[in-house]
Amino acid sequence: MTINKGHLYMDVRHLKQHFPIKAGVMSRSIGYVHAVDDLSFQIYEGETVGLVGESGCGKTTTGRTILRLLEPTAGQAFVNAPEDVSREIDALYRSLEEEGTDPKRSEEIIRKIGDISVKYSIFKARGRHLREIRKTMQIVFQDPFASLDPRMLVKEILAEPLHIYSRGTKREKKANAPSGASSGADHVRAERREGSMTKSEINERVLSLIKDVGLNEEHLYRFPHEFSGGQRQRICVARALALNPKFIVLDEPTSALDVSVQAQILNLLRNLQTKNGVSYLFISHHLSVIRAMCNRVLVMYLGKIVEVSETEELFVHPLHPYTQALISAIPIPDPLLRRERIILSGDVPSAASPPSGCRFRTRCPYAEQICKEEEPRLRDWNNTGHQVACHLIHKMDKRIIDAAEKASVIAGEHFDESVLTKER
Amino acid sequence: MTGATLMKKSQRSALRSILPRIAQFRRQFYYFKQSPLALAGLFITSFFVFLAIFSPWMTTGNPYELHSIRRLLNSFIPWFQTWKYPLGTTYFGIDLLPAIIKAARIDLAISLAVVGAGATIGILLGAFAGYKGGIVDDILMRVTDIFFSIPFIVLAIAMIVVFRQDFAHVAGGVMTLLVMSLVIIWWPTYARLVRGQVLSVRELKYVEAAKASGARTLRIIFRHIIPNSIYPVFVQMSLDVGSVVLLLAALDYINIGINFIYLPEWGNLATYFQYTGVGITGALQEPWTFVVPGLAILMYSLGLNLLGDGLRDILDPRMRR
Amino acid sequence: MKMTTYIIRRLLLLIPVVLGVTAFTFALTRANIAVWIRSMVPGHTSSSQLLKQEQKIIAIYHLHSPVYIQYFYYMKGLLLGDWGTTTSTDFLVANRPVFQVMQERLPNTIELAIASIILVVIMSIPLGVISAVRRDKLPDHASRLWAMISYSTPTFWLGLLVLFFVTPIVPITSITGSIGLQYYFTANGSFEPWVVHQGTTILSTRPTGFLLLDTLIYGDMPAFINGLEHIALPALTVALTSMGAIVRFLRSSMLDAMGQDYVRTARAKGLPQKRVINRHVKRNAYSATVTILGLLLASLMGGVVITEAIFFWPGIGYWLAEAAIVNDFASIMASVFVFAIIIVTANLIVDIVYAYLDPRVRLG
Repeated sequence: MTINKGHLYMDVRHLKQHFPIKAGVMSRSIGYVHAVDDLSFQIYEGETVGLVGESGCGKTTTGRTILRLLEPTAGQAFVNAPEDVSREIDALYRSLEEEGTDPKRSEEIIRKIGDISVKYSIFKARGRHLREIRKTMQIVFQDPFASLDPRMLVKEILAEPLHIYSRGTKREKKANAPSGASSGADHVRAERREGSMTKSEINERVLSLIKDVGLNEEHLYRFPHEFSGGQRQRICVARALALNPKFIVLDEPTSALDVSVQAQILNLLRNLQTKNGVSYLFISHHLSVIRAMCNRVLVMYLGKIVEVSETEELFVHPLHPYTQALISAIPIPDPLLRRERIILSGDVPSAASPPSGCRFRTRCPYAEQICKEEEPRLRDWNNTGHQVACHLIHKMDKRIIDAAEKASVIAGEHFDESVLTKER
Repeated sequence: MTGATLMKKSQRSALRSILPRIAQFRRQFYYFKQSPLALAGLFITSFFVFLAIFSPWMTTGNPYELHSIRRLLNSFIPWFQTWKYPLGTTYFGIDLLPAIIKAARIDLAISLAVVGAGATIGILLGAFAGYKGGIVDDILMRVTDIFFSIPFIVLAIAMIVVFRQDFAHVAGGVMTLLVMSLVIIWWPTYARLVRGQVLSVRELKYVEAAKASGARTLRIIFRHIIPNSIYPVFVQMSLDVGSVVLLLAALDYINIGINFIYLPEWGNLATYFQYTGVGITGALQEPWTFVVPGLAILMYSLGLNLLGDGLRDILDPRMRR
Repeated sequence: MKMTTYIIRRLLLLIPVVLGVTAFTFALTRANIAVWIRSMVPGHTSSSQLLKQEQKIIAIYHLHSPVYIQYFYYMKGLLLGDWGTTTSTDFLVANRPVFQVMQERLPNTIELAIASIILVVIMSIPLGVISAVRRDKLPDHASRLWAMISYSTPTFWLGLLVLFFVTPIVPITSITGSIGLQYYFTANGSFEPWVVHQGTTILSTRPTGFLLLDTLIYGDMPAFINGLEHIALPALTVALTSMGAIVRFLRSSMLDAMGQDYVRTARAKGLPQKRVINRHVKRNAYSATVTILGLLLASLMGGVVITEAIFFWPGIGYWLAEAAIVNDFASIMASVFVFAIIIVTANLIVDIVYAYLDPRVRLG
């Protein structure tokens, strides 16, 4: 699976999300949970990016923050910037990292980034601008039982986003109605209000949405509690699609569903992607699902990205010790296979006081002195597109490379396609 | 597509949107019907509402023509004197039955006004504070704490005493003062209730989904938060419509509520003995004068409480075990 | 969170509430200054005297100063026990310092409230338990109906009804007030319920101010029994009108406990129903009920005010009811403040006790 790196849709830079911990008599904050710590990644148009990691590592927080459902502590997320602007952003950040020593120069760069971010970053957007950006981004939540308003009919749920974005245009519509689209000025105005719809247009759109996700008109006039989990998740997907978004965060969309329904939803998502060309950020801890769905994978550990790679490359050559451990934990339905599992010792450290240096070092079987002292940066490995944040692998540590090769043999032979074969 | 079919289609879709709601209401009403107490409450409440609506046509003549002859006619069954005054007459010769029927309208009006205004203020403040959180929420909670730390009747006494001179010479001033004081007393109940609800609803994913769909704060509050946290408010409202009359009667008893002979109000009727100088010992000699209007208050409040309890059972499925 | 932290935090949360209450009473007096000043001037003064009196009052209360300075003096007076003078005409309180009257009256009100709470608990526990155990059966409907009736009864009406049924048997004077007249003694021109021990010994000081407690401390059994006789009916009146909430809460927390897994486990291992209820359900339901005793007190205090007025119980409520008629601002504001303090303190105690019983609360 090679990706044709098309238009850069979303460029997340140094995203931080810290939650205060409150305690004591006056509820002062005595520290922060570093839920997401300095995350940078890119999402291109039409691709599916996977985000894996164990529970509590900040996957969901990342997903919610880049849609600005949470206010970030720091960082930028540039959305849909033109080609030249995104190249400029990239150049600015590069030079910022290199010339970190000169304070004057970096100040200037930061100011430049600030100027660009006012225009393109979702974190700086306000009011109408924010709404315009939000219109192109949607989310599907893990729990289909909590994500639909129980007091609304499915029809109203699906129509809500459409209503929101055609509000304030009723008067114009009325003014237009008698004369039709005859006069030029009206036409221009109608064009500017792209996406505003009349009632019957909304009804038609809702109908086509519900059909797109494999339900029918009957279902529009029911309450969410009358549906099964899979059906509800379809409704959630339909709602996310209502505004023709360019990007959808899928926050563990199948974890709450049983396996057969899971396959249906995944197929639905894939089909919709080929049809509409949306990008997905697919958050999951289910590696087989990730392998089936994603073009690229980000591996997160304790609020940091430890490895980024194209999916097949990652599964065949997992470089980071944490990724290796994750991949060795995928169940393989082969009773004859005897393989070594990498079992990590200890628990995930508290995100309130993450370990110094490499965050994984407390559980890493290969950890050395340098891992304690210096924080590893995400770097290309061997000049491939495969990025990994580990000191040892960049020093070609023999043990890790061996482990990677072993994993590659297993992974190459056993691709668990069962997640998708239930319904084609 | 012609205009006629379009019309028909939109009508049909409107109808189809209403039908599921009716079906849901009928399902909930089924549970309501299971409880004899709730049905009794519905019956009693409808009875009083009926009285309130039709009272002008149900009473003939003026119960407030003061007759010294018919003063204090007994309604105790063993010594029953005349069918002309089925519930007896009270001080100043006021006929109790028509007076009580007339009073239904005033009591219902006062309690609906108080609860309606109090709930509106409380819902708005509670929903905003709960959704916004932070300092607004803190201030609102401290203010409600203050109101909750003073018994309602003490609060009412203090406010009425301070402001009654200002309202004394205005037409309907006493009523205005009473309603306003009671609203000031009652809104914190709703603000608290709604805020608590909002805090739990706010965290639900569908609110976040609406936010992701671009909904503004106002839309989220009015379309998602309030509809999903309103049902306990309905229950509380139905309970309070009864409680307002109770508090009003208590104020009447200590002579700072409605103390105007010509205004038929149950609490006022029950405490007429205070205008006569006979005092409690005197009233105990003519017990029907307070027992009968008091029973009206009791039944009214009981009906609304039973209704509210029944509503709680159908609206909050967790309580239905 | 540690217990001490919890208590300190809880105490700090009280400060804004208490300050808020004082600001409220302050604002109420200043909201209608003319009425307030007029209420402090005796009715029969001539207009020149009136002007003089007004000037004096304006000077005393610093009414020419900015509001915050007035509030400062108000708080100072409040803290130093200078609460003004009553203007009521009742000879028990007339023209006495409000603070002094309050010291007399407060213990009586608390005594009545405690007696009522005890009665509420005694009466509502069996009803709540039966209601939950025999759910949706006749006893349940009956006890729920009883709870509803209790909610819906006007307190003054019930009080009068109680008096109506009792007065044919005993004279009204022997059940109203806080103790029989034979135990009263007039001292210092005021009418105070000094306890006379066996008709001869005069107690020069009241050790606690609580009548029943004082009579017990001095071992005066006739006076104690007389006191009990006097408190019984008002306490019963208050209890009957405020037990509904407890019955209902107890029922729902019993049902809650009965639905828990540990109760199912207890049943599964073969414990008889009675033992399950007694050992596993009741204990948890009761400790949950502790939490609403504070709320109960707040709602019960409303009943106490009216009941005191009916039974001439010499507490704050009776005083307040009389003060309301004659515009006695000082007394009314003092009672608002004291009622708030009573309720806030009761809630504090309940919270601390509950936090002590249930460590989960402290974490919140």
